[in-house]
Amino acid sequence: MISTRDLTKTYPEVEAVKSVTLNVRAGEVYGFLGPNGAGKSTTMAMLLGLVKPTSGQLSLFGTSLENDYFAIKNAIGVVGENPYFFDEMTAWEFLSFHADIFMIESKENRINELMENVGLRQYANIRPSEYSRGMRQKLSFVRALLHKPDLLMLDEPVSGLDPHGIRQIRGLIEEQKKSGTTIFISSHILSEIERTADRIAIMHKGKLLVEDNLDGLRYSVDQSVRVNVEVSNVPETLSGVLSDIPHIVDHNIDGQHIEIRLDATSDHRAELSSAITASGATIIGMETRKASLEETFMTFTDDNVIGLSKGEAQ
Amino acid sequence: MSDTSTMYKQIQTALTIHRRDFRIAIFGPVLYIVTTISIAIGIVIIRNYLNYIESNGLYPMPDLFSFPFRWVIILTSVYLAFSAVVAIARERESGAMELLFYGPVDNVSYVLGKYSAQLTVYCLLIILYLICFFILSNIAGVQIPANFYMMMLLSLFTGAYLISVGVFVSTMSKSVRSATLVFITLIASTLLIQASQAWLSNIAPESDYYNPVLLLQQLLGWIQVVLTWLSPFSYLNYGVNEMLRGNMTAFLRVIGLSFVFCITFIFSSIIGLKIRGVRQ
Repeated sequence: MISTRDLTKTYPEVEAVKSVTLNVRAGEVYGFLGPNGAGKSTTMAMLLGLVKPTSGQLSLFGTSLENDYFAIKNAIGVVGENPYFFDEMTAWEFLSFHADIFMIESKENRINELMENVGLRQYANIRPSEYSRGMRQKLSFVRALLHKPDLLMLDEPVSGLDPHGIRQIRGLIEEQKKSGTTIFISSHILSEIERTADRIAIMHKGKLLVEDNLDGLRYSVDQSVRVNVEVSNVPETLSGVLSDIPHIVDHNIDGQHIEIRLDATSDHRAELSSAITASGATIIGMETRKASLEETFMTFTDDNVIGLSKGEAQ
Repeated sequence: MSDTSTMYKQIQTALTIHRRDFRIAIFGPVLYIVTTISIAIGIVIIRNYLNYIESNGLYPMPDLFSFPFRWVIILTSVYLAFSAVVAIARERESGAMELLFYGPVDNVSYVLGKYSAQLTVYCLLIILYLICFFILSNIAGVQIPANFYMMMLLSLFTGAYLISVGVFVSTMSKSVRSATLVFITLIASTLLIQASQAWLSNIAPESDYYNPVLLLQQLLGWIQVVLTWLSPFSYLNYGVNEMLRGNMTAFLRVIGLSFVFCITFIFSSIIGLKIRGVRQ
């Protein structure tokens, strides 16, 4: 769906994007993460043809914007970080104007249907400047969905929204995901990406550090599984028993709570459970804890910062 | 996608932008203020002529309408060119241009849509001015000469040229402020050089070979020659004068050159927008 190879953008003062190679598959939700100034917006702008790459290749739907500008643009819906509306137009007029740009037939029905879906129908004749931030974001979504795009590109779609607004936008994204639309989301809000994205890419200082699904990302920063076990009757020999189990990387006993790191080659929980029970302890509870996207993200970007500073020092 | 299909989409998109901008232009109050001021200036000049005729029994010039009409045209075209400057630069500054380019809008359709909206307003105003001058001629009892219509035709081309300059300036500018500054500097310097040259040419220099007035006269004379080839105002003046002299070849040449410059500036705006990009 989207493919780039060695995509680079250099400004006179800074190299904003450095040899980015990414692939977004049809029908997936692709989370595009990175701290401020990582180069996410520049990359998105290049994908949309708003900024010309300095070098590298990019293709959308298997072709380039130069070859089929109008067909590609007609298949993309974009929600920008800062939704802009024309001051002189009501929400309805704004959508009608965009429907004309996309040459949508029976635009009235489509606008009504979408406005109804997001609960803005009764506010259609009001200017968006009078809308709340959440309503404006929903209106941006309606604009982006007017022409039933195959690819939806969202730049910080829930930024600045209250929890209610976030929930509504999440609902819209999930609806689009179900209908098979490919979704490219750039966001700072990691919990949202964690909930919705099938695959995630992390950018830092203009470089694409990694591109994988969440489990893959977790595995690349930590090849172990964390298991928290709650036990009663902790025997003194338990620590020794745990140390003898080959798949345990390390463990920490704190009263009735044991934190264990297992290697992630396969599921060793049954073996662990048997060993603890055999030692004379009684298992009250056991839960596997996966690293959150936030922890994974921080590990990636922090490591990279350390790596870069070491490189610079050399 | 075939070239015909691309062209069809570009035209359709340009028409959509055109409709929106045309609506904004005709519903804005400034247009009506400028139109009213332009017509009022025309009326004052014609009224002065009539007073002169009444007191002296002579016509101050063979054609009473060409000079006031020239002023009306200059004011209107400068306003519409400035309006194009602000409209495009403001859209870039606010992010509206980027919003449009998210969709199937390219640099060709955007520039054509913006330009054609201002040009349509200009054409409608020319028709409005024609009606006003008709009414004035009836009130004054002075018939509008046939060459007045030729002047109207010329003004369409010179106005179209000036608006294209406005579009070019705005597509190349970073912000409303810089676009406005560049455009005002261009217009003011053009008019100032023309006025200075006219004023200096009336001063007789001393016989001294190195007289600074003579040098300045020569310098402004050279700049004036360049401006004659570039300035839409010069084309308007030159075209009207040649038409009044009956030199139709020169008149048609002025129309042709205005058209060529207009196309050049529109083309440069399209290329400029592509190079400059939609972001600030």
